[in-house]
Amino acid sequence: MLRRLLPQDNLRTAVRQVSSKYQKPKPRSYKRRWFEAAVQPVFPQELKSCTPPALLHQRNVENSRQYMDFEVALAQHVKNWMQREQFRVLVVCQQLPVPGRTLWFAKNQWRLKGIEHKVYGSKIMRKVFEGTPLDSLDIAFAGSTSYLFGKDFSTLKHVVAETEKLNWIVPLLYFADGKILSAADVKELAQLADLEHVRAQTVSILTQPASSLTNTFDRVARQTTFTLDSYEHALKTE
Amino acid sequence: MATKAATRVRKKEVVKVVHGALLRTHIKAGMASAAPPLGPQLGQRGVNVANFCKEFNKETGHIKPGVPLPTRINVKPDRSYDLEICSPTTSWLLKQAAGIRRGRQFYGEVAGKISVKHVYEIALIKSKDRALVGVPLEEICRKIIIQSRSIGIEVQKEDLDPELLKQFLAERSGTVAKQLAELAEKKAAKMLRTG
Repeated sequence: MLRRLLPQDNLRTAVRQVSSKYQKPKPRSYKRRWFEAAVQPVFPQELKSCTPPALLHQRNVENSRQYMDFEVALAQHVKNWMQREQFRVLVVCQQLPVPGRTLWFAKNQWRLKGIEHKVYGSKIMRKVFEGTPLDSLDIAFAGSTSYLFGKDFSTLKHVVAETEKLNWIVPLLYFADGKILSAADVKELAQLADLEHVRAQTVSILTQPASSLTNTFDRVARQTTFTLDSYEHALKTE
Repeated sequence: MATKAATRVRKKEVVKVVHGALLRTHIKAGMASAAPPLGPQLGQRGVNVANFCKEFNKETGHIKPGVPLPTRINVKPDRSYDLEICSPTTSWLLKQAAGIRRGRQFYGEVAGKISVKHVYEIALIKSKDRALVGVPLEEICRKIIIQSRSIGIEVQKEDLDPELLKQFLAERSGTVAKQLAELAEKKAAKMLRTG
């Protein structure tokens, strides 16, 4: 009986009707220990078992491959959202911890430039891309990753520009239309001007030979006219 | 005797409280003054209260006096400050739209009624805030509807019928008067008990 008065951790206690915001004093008070000793024969004993680390690891790996109903539903919801919005660009980024207000403002600024920022669990994203060409790249969906989505290729330029300014988000992988782009290629693409600007440049380059030809013929005609005028003037003065 | 004298002489150690640089508060438009609670909050952070009140009242001169405005004051180490004044609080805008002054007292009570057009107009006002620039209007409307539920204001898709609304507001004013009378009675009873 005296031994039972000693504080015991394995005895399950009744639900307390007090706030859970403060720590229960350990060891428990004398009266409490008397109560626990008295009800111990009635309370079921909690059996402790020691799991080997290899088995624990195996269980963790199995659990990570199994999906609960809500995880499957969330993955389906994310997939439907990506298809509905018709995103063509996906950037997988490493995101470091950042204050909520900073992240909120950054997200809003990115949204104005057509970049949508989302944070989903790696398990969910692996399920989203299951059965797609990106399934083999599930190593990218690990750790604290966040995802940037865009609807057209100009998003890549904005992503490079915005992520270079910030030190808490680092792009790891770029996907565009199901293809993986290297970081060097994306940086080159980012240095190019807008698509409209490039189109205008192409049109001006294509029309350049025609306009130079026209200028050449014009020059010849003008020169001929000038020569004849000057000859006529010389004849008149004589 | 000696210990009593010793305890009388011993003074409490005064710990200087260092207040955070950010002060988030609601200040009524055109009514900033050095009175508590604003005066002590600013004074503890080393801000010149008189200058602050002058600047705030000048910046909110175009707004109807008494409108609660969420304000963020970031006090720098050199005692200068950055002042950010946001649009009026959503709860105030909702109550103005519903024509009421008091929200619900218990769960399930309907304190007022507005339509989705009111929600849209309120969302347009709130979308100009710095924290909501870039947020889709749909998202802002959702947040406003969630807040209206917590105040007890019902949002309906159809336009409000003036006759029904008048009847509702008349009934509501009676309910509010009863609730306030009950609260006043409880307070008076407590005062009598505690003396």
